[in-house]
Amino acid sequence: MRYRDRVYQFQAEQAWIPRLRLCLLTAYQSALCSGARAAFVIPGNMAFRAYAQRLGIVSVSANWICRTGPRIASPLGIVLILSGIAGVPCALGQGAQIRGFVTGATDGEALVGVNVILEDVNGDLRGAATDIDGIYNIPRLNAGLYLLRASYVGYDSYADTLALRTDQRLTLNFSLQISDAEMPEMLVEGEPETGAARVTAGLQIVRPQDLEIIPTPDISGDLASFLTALPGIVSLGDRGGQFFVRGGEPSHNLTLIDGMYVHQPYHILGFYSAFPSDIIQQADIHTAGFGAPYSGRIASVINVKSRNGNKNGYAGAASVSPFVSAIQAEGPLIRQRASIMTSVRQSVVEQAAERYVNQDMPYTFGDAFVKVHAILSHNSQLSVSALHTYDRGTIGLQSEDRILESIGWRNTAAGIRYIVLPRALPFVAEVQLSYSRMRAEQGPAGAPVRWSQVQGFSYAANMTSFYRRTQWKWGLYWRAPDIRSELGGLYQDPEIGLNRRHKAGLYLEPDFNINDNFRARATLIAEIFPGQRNRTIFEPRFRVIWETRVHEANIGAGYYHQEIFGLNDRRDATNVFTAWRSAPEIDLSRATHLLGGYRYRPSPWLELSVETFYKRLRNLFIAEWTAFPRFTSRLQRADGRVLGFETRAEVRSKRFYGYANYGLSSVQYTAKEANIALWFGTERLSFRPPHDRRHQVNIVGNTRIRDFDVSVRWNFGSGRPFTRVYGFDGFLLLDGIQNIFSASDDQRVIYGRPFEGILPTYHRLDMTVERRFDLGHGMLAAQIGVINLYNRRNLFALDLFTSERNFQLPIVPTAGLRIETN
Amino acid sequence: MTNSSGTFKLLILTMVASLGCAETVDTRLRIDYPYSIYGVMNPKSDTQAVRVFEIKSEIRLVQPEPIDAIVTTLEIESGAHRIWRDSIIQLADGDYRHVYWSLFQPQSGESYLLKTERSDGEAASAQTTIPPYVTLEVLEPDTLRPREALMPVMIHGSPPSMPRIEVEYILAGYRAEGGETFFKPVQFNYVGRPREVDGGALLEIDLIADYSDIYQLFRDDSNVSAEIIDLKEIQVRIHVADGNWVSPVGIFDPNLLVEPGTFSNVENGFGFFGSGYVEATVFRPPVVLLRRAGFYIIGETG
Repeated sequence: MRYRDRVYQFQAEQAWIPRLRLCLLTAYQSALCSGARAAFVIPGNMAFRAYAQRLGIVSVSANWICRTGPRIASPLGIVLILSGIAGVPCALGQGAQIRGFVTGATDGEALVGVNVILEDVNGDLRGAATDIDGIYNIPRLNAGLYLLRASYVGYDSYADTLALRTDQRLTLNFSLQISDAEMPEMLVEGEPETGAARVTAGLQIVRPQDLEIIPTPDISGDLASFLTALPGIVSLGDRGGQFFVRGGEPSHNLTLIDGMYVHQPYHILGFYSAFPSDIIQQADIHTAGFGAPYSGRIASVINVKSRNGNKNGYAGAASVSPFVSAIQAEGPLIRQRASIMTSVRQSVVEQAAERYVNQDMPYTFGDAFVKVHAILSHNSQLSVSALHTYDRGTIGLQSEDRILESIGWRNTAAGIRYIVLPRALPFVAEVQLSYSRMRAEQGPAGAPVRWSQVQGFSYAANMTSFYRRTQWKWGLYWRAPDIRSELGGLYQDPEIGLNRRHKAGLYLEPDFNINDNFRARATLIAEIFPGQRNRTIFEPRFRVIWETRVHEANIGAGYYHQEIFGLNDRRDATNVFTAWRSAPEIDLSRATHLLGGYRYRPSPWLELSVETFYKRLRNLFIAEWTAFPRFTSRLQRADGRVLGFETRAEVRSKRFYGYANYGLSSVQYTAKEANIALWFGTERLSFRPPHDRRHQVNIVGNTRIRDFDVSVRWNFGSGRPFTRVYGFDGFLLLDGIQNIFSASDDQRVIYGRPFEGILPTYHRLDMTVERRFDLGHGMLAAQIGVINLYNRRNLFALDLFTSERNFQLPIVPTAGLRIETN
Repeated sequence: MTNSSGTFKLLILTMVASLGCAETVDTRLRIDYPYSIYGVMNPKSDTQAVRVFEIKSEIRLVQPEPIDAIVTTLEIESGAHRIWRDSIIQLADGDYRHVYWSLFQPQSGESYLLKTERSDGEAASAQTTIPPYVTLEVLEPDTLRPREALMPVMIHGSPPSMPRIEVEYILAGYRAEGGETFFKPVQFNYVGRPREVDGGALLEIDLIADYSDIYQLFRDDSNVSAEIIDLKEIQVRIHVADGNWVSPVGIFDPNLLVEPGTFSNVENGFGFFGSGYVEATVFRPPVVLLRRAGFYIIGETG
């Protein structure tokens, strides 16, 4: 055995714990002095175990790899260093630092929210929780001896002992073993990381298990179904794939997966999105007040991080249901170093559900996701992800005089994400390069009457470092959306054009930990638009949180802008075709968010929260109203204001998990074009847009009855506004003396004032019952359920031309099977 | 106990059943207007016509069948009453329309009340006064003013409104390949441009400005040569109309005026019923102006 790779073994049956620690550290230091790679294997020892258990550690193992001295690994490292030069001053004199990746020992997945605690010889504690990539980072440490402990619900705790030198940057990666101890069915102790009532300044963190308790006609959960159970999110019905977040339009939402833009991620049938729970590690849902690095959208951000896949063994799953079938597989490409994960879903609505639902359901959709994740070295990781989705269907009712055109859209995205903990620099660096494309079509597949496409590359470099008690995030990005549309056919003012809106941005976001209870985050984003007339935009944002174990209060504010957006004719809910356009130069859409919240956890099983928000929206570009019975791509400007209040209650007990929420909101847009005075006799016309749902209630419950998991969800929404119609006639433009026998004219709709009618209320009860069977090397899950249990005839859309009503899904029994192997 | 249990079950059943019901929603606002009408009384024509649309609660293609409407006109001063006849026309796109017509020629200064009445008595009506006649005179241009090429056309009379003034250039050009001659009309709208002068209004056609646009048009067409643009003649057509024929926004933009009621003189209905005629003249400007504007002069080079 070479010295540099020597394994130190300790027989510690009779040793005192401090002596053991000292032995470990002495051995480590001797190895360190010689620049050796040191590994320590500590056999089980009763005394040590007793000590460990006193510290709350269930089992002990130690295994670290430490290299000393800076080393620049690649040209990318040079880029990172250049990008991070601004952070060097932060590093000076900030002491030693320990950071690393924490993974699950079974599958190599990054573990999010692991508490990593360092205890020095005086018993003083320092800690950090792992982020979405499983990275922890504890800066500003004095040289000395430390005991590191890591704990995570469902996993054995981890402990290690280490010595840090002055200004040393130590990278320590470790894995946690799944605990053999039987866990309680529901978490009742400890601070939950996510939860239905756990909303902090507009941010709700969602994990796959949160999605799976929402009853859907599929055995796996989906982010789309979860979103419909949130109080501030409005959907126009169970189809169309459109979500309105706290007063914004669907195109005001930024949706990302692994850093890749997904412009229209929701499937045509509203239960499904491009994000099944199988591929999600975590989703951050920001409904207001979001910070950096998010920019270019004014309403919300949904940032999905996918799982990396199993690096230690192969696993797969297949499921069938009357609506969708899915296959998912994952496994190591190089054991413990690289993994691949794939997921493919295909709708079977027309082949299965439509046959027993008394309703035409001409919907086809699917999605495929693949991710390769590799551990390049002990301090760097690389992932390559790709996503493709497609949707096609016809929404609405066909009539004698109205031929409906099918609508379809496709998303394609691919991206690379590289994470490194540079040895020479004291920050965590992330580099992303991605390409996204979304094409929406109206008309026959292959020969659309009109289409709209947005595509482009995006580059971002994000850094995180620490200085004193402050976490600093900073970075730069460059985005180049390219918009093309061909809006011929029945569209007014067809435009064929190419629109490029390149932009580059920088951001800085210090997060001050003022004391143990008080945090304040300030953000400043600066954006420039090369070659365009837009001025440089500065967007300040801030968030302040005061938190104790029982209470949390927070306030937030931010300034946002958007330079590309989608246009829809909102007077026709069945027309979900979105025409993407670029905002006029200079006059970008802008928003100001203000919000405040309070959360109270009076007992481990109950959590309550309230949040109120105000959004001021300016320069919204909405389709100009026209009495021609067709959509126009002419824009009219509107301002808006959104005012809302949401309250949530969450119950976690051993046998029951459930939550209820209520949202009250008021959305008002004010159109201010010159023609408003001509049409309506007023300079500014205020109206409720069609997504102004005043009241929303969601109740979700999940319990286990014998071996059956029972999930129930009831949601209620008050009626949404729509524009009523006086009648129909024709319009002949008499702009001169004409031959009345031959002049051409148009049909015309005589609308009332915009959005003064109110649709009926919406409510629905869904329920599923699921049982899992252990097959030894796998699991079989069987599910039955009912969607719309009491067969509520919820209106989806009104055909204003014929007064015909189009209803959402009636009562639909559903069943599903899923087999998992590992 | 049994009774209360049964009542409870009934209550639950009733509640569940009512939950499943759909609420009604009224998509229509009440409107009493029976018709939208579009027509022109033309004193230069012996046939008058008006297009009539029934205002319906559902959008339907117009069928080639009679509609419940009687169209009449009343000449207000004389009291002459006429019942117009229905006809069904088919437009180029195949759709049908109802055009009511009557054989007579109104005279300048007469006022007419057009009434379109349904069998239940609901009626839409509009009134118009036939505008006075005007005459056009092409005046001699002032060729001494440098850097100007204005061609004056005098409109003698007092037109109440001129919703459209067409100035059409009839041009001859040459194909870029082969040199083949072709003729191309280019039309400009001079609405709002005449200025009031003694005895009428003066329209000045700006040859230099128009040539600039014409040249750009030729240059953008890769099939033709922009070097040779020969002006053959200018046709001026002035639409003289009654005093109601004025756009509320100054221009006749269909996207603005399509909104019901924005450009309408119909009582108890929508649309527009006016009167007017087209007065036209044709001329070719003097060579000195053509040369100054930039038009090609045959026989001259460079």
